[in-house]
Amino acid sequence: MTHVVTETCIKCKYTDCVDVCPVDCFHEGPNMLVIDPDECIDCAVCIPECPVNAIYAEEDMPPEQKEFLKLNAELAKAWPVITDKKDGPPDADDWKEVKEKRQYLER
Amino acid sequence: MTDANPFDQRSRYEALMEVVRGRMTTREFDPGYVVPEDHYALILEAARHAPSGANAQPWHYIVVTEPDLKRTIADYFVDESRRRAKLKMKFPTPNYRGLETAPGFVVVVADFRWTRAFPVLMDGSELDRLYHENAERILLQSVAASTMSAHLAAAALGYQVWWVTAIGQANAQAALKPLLGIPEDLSVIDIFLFGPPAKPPYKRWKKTLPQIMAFNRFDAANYMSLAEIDQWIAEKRHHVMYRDESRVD
Repeated sequence: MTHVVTETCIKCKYTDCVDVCPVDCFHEGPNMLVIDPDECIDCAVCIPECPVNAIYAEEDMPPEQKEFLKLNAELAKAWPVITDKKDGPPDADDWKEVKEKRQYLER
Repeated sequence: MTDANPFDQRSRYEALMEVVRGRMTTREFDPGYVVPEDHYALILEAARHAPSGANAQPWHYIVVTEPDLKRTIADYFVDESRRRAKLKMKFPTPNYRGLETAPGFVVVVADFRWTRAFPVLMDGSELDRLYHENAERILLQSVAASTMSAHLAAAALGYQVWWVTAIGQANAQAALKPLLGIPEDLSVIDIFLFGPPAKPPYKRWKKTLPQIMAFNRFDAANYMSLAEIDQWIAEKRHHVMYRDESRVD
């Protein structure tokens, strides 16, 4: 079991979640965060912090987001750990409501 | 193997150890399970027989069966874990939502006024303060002994358990005591949860016997410096709390 960052995070990357993570399991990519499933302890503290509700417990993930389970595991290995909140992209608010944006994921 | 020697009853010992080894923390239970009414008495009968300072037995157990009450108590802990996270406490907090899934839900109450039954002076002096500090330890150990007996009784019946500690803060007392009708001068000290686990339980890493045991003198090899402890906290703590022992190192 783990928690998973899903599509909604792409191009928003508000990073509120990293401030509360007790085990520093968030990793930062160019325009999205992911969770390292080997480090996540399923405390769920990050879920309500996300302004765009991008984080789910693995078992609660919407079916169309399932591919992000694998993506989180894969990208966490490649991207550096992020432990402190920072400013999101300047146009983050413009992307909050956009539903389909996996094509914009930068690696 | 024979149990003829009254002080070498290995089969009795093994039966106990099977319970002791099999007691594993679980933090999400099967919420649909209903605890048979007599199980509460079977489990708390074990708590009743624990040793205590001055035989004061300064404990009370409140069995919570109302789902709304369980949920309200869980809400308090979820909120508290968020507060701690925002303070950047970095403690690997469990998901306290799991509290409300526990079929067996027992609030452990301690009566700290019983410290006066232990070796204290009761004259308000500095020496009395030191004796009172020690008396609090006596009381805490007494309640822990009783609580552990209950945990083992639950484990003996086949349940898994969760010992929720760290309820000492004033805001926890203020939040929980009125809900449960606990008199102002008593304290909620633990919550003891039991039931069938929602997922297979896993055995946590335990120190080896040589790491904790010595004869006649402390084994200096087992002394950890503060720097070593801090390193352990940073690197191992969340693994030993949330992983099977085979996946710790």
